[in-house]
Amino acid sequence: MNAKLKSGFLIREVAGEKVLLAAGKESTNFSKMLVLNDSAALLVDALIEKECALPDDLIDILLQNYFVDYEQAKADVDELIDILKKLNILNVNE
Amino acid sequence: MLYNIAGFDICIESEEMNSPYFSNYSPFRISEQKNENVLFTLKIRNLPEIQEKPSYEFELDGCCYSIYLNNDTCDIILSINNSDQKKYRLHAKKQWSEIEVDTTFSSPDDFFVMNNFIMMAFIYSSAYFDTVLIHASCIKQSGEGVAFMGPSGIGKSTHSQLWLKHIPGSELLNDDQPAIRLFKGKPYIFGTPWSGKTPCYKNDGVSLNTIFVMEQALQNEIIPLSSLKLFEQLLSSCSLMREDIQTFDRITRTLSVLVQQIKSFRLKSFPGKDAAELSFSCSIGR
Repeated sequence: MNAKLKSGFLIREVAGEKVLLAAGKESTNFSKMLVLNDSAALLVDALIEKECALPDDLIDILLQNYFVDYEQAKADVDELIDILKKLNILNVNE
Repeated sequence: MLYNIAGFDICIESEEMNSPYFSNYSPFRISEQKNENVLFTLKIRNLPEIQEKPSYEFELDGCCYSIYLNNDTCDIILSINNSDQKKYRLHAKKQWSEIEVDTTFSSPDDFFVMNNFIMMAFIYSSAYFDTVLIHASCIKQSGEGVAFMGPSGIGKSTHSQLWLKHIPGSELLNDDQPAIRLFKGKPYIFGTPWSGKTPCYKNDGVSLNTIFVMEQALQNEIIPLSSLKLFEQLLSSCSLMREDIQTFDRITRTLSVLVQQIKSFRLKSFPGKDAAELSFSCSIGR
């Protein structure tokens, strides 16, 4: 499964926090501001940039940037993907 | 004709600007350019019909808008509901620095739409220069400014009136759409030709001291607002087309700097002298 964030999302640093904001007509139903921790911001940033293979590409990013084992990385990635799916802000390519 | 709004020079090439319908622009009139560049030039032109489909459409305050976004241009077709379905068109290019408007000036509606278009031109062109228009009422006091924000009907104007009545030396700067502009990272607030129902068109700007987010209550209370909460409030109260990714990017950048620089409070207020004295004592009167 490949996926990319819908168009119009951007991460803006506000008062030291990384916040996911939505512009663009694909994403205007998303009026919330989502505060991301550093690792989530890294992953979401990748999903804004390009289509990623899920969950493998994101697990790789975590393994390259953090001292975590594969199991922990996979659990974190799965949780994030779950949240993004529930928010309906992913364009998924089965 | 040249105008200076929030420190920006703008040029509107139409004799109709002398009309009494545009008296809100008179205080902003200048005879020669103050800056090296004008923010935008607006010309009246006949524009051809647009064949393509709009990027999106929406309704606001009794008007229908169709927006056409392309790489370096933006077109807006506006029609007023319950009227003769006359269509007005604005064409903007080069980051909103060159604007063309297709309209006549024969009915009050025409002037209403033109005023609306000039305001939009200002919002989107100034967005590239650290400036946002926010929905707020604001007071000038001792050479500084305070802004009262919140949804319509919450008591922004009422609170400004309380300052005018109870805090000596207060002056209404704008009652609906002041501009906030960052100069070297410091926020200033300016009067504009757009002030809602209150005819308060001041060509003046002061350092912005505090932003209050209003809430109605039975007892007065003041609660510090986090930068993140203030950002959220400002984003929902500033005029922008969320769909236009470029200006959204610029405006959120401006707001993220602004919230780091400004004091802000949630003001729970029961209208009266006490409420005005409380907000004064937390801001300029501190």
